[in-house]
Amino acid sequence: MILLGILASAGAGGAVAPSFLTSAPLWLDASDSATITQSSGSVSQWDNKGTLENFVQVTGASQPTTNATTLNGLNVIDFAADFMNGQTLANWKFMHDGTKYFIASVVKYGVSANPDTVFSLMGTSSFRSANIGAYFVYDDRSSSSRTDRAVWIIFRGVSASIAVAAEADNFITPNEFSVQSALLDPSNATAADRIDYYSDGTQGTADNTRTASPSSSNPSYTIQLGAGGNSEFPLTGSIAELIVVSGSDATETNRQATVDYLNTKWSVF
Amino acid sequence: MERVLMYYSWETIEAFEAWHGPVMTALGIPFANRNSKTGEIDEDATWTTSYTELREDDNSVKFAKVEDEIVERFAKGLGTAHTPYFEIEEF
Repeated sequence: MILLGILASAGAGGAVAPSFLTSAPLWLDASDSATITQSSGSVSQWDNKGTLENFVQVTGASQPTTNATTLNGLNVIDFAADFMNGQTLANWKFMHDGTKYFIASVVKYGVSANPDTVFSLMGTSSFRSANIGAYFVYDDRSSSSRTDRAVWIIFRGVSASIAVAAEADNFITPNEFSVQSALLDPSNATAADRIDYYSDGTQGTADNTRTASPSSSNPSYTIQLGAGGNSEFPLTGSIAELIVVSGSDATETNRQATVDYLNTKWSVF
Repeated sequence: MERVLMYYSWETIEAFEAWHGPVMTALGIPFANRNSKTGEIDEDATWTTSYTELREDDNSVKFAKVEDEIVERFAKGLGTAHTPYFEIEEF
């Protein structure tokens, strides 16, 4: 009965979405064609199946592509230095203000074995600590001694004073789909408990050591999917599904349930 | 770097607009887009309103993304190939 209580609807591949996803702030699903608006495969709008706003791109050259690539027989959205924009700063304040939340995504960074650059999953801050917001990226810059690094950052608008920074090299395989997820609790008094992050089923072991209090102000930039804010370091790669769950639903049990749902659906690992 | 060069710089906004205007016209921009499930044009969903967007990088160079197909079709007035520079704070 408990199991039935947390199940919502059966999706492709027999995957059943947990019921709490219907109240998630963000749920983008590339396999749900009804949520995608496009012209000749160029995506101008990706509707959010969660509670907050849709993501849009009015500029043709920066629109990602649909109906070109599949994973486990399901459509994904391909990015070629593309990105999409949210619309309301205040909607995404929860991603850096101390609210507990988790992210779970099926994403492919890069289209080669050694990208030697930065690709963004999403962000509201760009890449300077004087800004307010968060960014989550893949970093493979040899010039900065990064190698297949997962990066999870929350800035608070004070230069060099950071609320959360978790980074792990050799953690993401480029040009392959993986389930990247993290449970964030940015105001936790214990620094190491501010974030637990995972690639597929493996937890990153390099803990956050930052203890600065998060900002309660709006983020510096409108949220971007496939960029870190201010349109910087756009994604080349693909996104199959991206989910953000916040508040009382943001538990480790629910993160695991979401990862299980994504993995069953997309057959990633 | 795996990314093929797809950014071009212009000295002035006016030079960019002189190139971008004919591209917009040729591509029929602005236009409404279609729901991917129904195939029907959705006038209420986001329209495509520009081909590309002129931005400035951290070196104050004005640049825009231009896809290879457009480079070939609209070479006249196209700016100079450019790799935009954005700094990531190291900490």
